[in-house]
Amino acid sequence: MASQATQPPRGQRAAQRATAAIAAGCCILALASLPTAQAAKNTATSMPTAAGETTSASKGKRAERAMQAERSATAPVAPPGLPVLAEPPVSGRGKNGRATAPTPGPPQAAGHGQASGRAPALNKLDREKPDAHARRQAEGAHRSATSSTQSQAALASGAESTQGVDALARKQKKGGGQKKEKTKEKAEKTKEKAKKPTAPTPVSAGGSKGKQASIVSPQLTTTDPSADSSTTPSAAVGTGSASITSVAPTAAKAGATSARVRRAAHRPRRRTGSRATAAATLAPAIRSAPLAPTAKNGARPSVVRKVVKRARPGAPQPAIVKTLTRIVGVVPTPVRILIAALIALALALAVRSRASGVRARRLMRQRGQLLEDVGLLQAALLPVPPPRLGPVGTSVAYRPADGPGAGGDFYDVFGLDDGRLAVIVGDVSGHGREALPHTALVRFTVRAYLEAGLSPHEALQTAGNVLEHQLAGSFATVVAAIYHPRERTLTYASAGHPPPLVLGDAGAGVEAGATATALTLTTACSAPPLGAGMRTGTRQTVVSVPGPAWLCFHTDGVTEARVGQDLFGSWRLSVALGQLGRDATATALLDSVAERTTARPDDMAACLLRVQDGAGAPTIAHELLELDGAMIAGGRAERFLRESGMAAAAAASVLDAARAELDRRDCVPLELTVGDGPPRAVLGQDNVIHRPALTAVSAS
Amino acid sequence: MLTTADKSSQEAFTGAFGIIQSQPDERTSVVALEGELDLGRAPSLKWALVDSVDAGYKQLVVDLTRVRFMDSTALSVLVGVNRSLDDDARLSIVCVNNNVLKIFELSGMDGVFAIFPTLDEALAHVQGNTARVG
Repeated sequence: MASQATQPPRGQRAAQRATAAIAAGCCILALASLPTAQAAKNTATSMPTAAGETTSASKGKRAERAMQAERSATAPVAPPGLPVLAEPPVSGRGKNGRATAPTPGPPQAAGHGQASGRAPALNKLDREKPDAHARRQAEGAHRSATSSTQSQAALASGAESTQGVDALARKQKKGGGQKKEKTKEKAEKTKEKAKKPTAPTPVSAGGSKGKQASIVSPQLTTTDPSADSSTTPSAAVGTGSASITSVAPTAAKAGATSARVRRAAHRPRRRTGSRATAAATLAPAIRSAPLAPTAKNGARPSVVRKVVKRARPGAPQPAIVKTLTRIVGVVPTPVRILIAALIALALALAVRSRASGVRARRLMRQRGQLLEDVGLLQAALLPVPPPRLGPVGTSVAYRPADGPGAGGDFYDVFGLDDGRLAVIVGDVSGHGREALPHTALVRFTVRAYLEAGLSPHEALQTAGNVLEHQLAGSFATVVAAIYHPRERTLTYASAGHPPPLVLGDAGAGVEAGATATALTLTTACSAPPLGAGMRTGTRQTVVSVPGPAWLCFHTDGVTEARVGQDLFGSWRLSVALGQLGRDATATALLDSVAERTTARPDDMAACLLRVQDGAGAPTIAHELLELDGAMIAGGRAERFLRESGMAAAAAASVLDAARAELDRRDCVPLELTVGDGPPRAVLGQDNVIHRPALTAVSAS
Repeated sequence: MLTTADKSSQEAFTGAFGIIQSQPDERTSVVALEGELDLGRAPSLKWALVDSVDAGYKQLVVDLTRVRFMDSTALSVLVGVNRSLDDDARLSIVCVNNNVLKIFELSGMDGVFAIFPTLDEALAHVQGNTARVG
C-alpha cells in the first residue's frame, strides 16, 4: 500500500485505488490511535502534546529533528487531517476531484497562486513543509503554542495555501475552546488573509479543486463568528469537505461548551495525527483526502462528535465497503447487471437445489419406510419356513410378475401334531394392494382350520362357507395339503387351484424320465375357488409317496408363464424340476422357470417338499368326491371316474347308484380307493361333508 | 352392430386380441373374443359384458372359440359377471380350445358355466331357457 501510495498516480483508477486504500488505512489508524488519544485527553493544553505525539509518530524519522517545533507545528498540520473524518465517503465521489485536481489545480490557481493549489501545497506541507514549515513557525512564532500564533505564523510564512489558512483557522477554533475570543480575532485575521486567496477561487472553480476553494471561502467567512450557529449553514452550502463540516460545528459547539469542544477537538486531532502519518508517507493519496467528505456529511449540521461517532464504528467497514465500492466502480454497468443476474440465478439455483435435496431426503425416508412396510406385509403373507420339518426338506419362493400383476399369491408351510406337515398355497383374484387383505384372510383362515384338525377338504369347505361374504366379490384359489411322514401319504384338496406336481426321484436328472414319473393327477370335478358362490372343498386326493419324491405346490403364474406363444405348463415344470436334481429348491426352480420362459405376466410362488428314503413311485391312493346332480348330468362325474382308471361299465353302475342316492339327498360322497387292481368305488352312506352348515351360511 | 377393436401393446407374446360384439336379436348379445385373454385384456372383456348387461340384454354368449389362452383374471371376470346377472338372465360359453377348457376344469368352474362346443348350441341354450322362463 505504501509503495503504491508513494508513487505518483499513474491513472485515475490507480489513484482511486491508492487513495481509497490509504483512506481506509487512515481510518484504521485513526481508530487505533483513538484509545491513546482519549487517554491523553486531559486538558486543553495537553492536546497539542497529544497531537504532537501522533504527528511525530506519523512523520517518523523525518519528524525526529523537529520534535519541539512540531508540537507547535502540529496545529497547522492538523487541520488538513480533519478531512480524514470524511474520507471514507469521499472515495466514491471524489474520483474526478482527486484525480484531476492535482494536475489542473495549480494551473487553475495560477492566477491566484496558492489558493487553488491547496492540495499540492498540502502535500508539500505534509511531506516537507510540516517540518520545515513548522520549524519555521516554531521559530518565528512563540513557544506559547497557541494555535492563534501558529496560524499567524502559518500566515506569516507566506500564506502557503488557503487550505493551510483554513486549517489554521480550524485549528485555532478547536484547540482554543478557552481562547474563543482570541480565536475569533485570529480567525478574522485569517479570514482577511484568506479572503485574498479566496477571491480568485471562484474563478478557478473549473475543477473540483475549485469546489474546495470556493468552499473554503464561505467557511472562513462563517468561521469568523465561530460562536454563531450560522457556521453550519456555510458548511452546508459547500459541496463541503468533511474538514469544513467538522470544523464549523466544532466552532459552534465550542461556543456552547468548551469541554465538548475539547472532546470534539480531540478526535479531529487524533485523526489529524493519523492522517498526518499517512500524509507524510503517502502524499499523493492524501492529496485527495480533503476532498473526501460527501456533501451529505458536509451538509449535516451535526456536531463533530456526531460525525466522529459515526465514523468510528464505521471505520472498520470502510475498508471492506471501499474495496467493494472500488471493485464495483470499475465494473461497467452491463457487466454489473450481468453479475447481479448471475448471482440471482446462483441463489435461485442454490435454493432450488437445497429444496430438492430436502425433498429427496424426505422421499428416501418415505421409501425406506414403505419398503419396510412391504417387507413386513410380505413376511406376513410369505413366511420363511424352517429348511426342514421332520424328515421333509422344505423351501419356498416367490417371484413377482414382470408387468402390472403382482400381489395375491401366498403360501404357508407349518408343522402339525403327530409330525405331520401342512402346506397352503393360494392366489387371490385381483392384484395389487386390494388383494393383500384377502390374501392374509384366506391364508390364516385355512391355516387355522388345518391346525384345528380338519382334513384339507373340510378346511377348504369350511373356509368357503366362512369367507363367502368376506371376500366381497373376489375369490381365492387355494390348495391345502397335509403330508404324513409315517404313512408317507400326501392328502391334498384344491379349491380352484392347480394340483401339486408330484415327481418321483427316478426321473430326476433325466428329461424324458421326469415326465414319465410325474404323477398324473385327475383334474376333473375340481372344486371351485373360495368365494365363487359355490360349494367348494368337494374333492380330496390322497397320494402315496413310498420313495423319494418332490412335492411341488405352485400358483398358476408358474404354469401360465409364456414360452413364446405357448404356456409353460406342468410338463415343462416337471422337466425343469427333474433337471435340478436332488438339491433343487423352490428358488432355484422359479429361477429355472424364469430362464425358460419369455414372459411372466403373473406372480409366481412355489413351495417345494423333498421326501426322502423309501422306494417306489408315487401313486394315487384314494379319492373323495362329493357327487351332486349337476356333476352327473354334466358328465363330469363320469369323466372323473374314467380318468381315475375305472372301467366304463363300472363307472356307469356307480353313477346309477349315485343318482338313486341323490333322490334322497342333495349330494353323495363317493370314495374311490385305488389299489393294485381296478379302483373300488364306495358311495358314502352318510353325508360327512357338513352340507347343512353350508346351506345355512349360504341362506343367510 | 357395435364393433370394438382392442389392440394391446403386449402383442410381443400374446399376439393380436380383438373383441367383436353382435346382437342376433333384441335380447341376445354375443361377445366373440380372439387372441389371448390375460391380465391385460380381461378388462376389455369385462366392459364388453357390462355394457351388454347395462343395455338390457338378458341372453349373453361369450364365444371363446378363437381364444388360445385364458388366465385366472379373465376367469374372475366371467365369474363376476355371471354372479351379477339377474335371475332371468343367462350366460353361456362357447369353447373348444383344450387350454381354455383345462382352465375351466382346474378352477372347478366347468360346473358353473354352461360350456358348449358351438355357438348354435350356446345360443339355443340361452334362448331356449329364456323362452321357457318367459
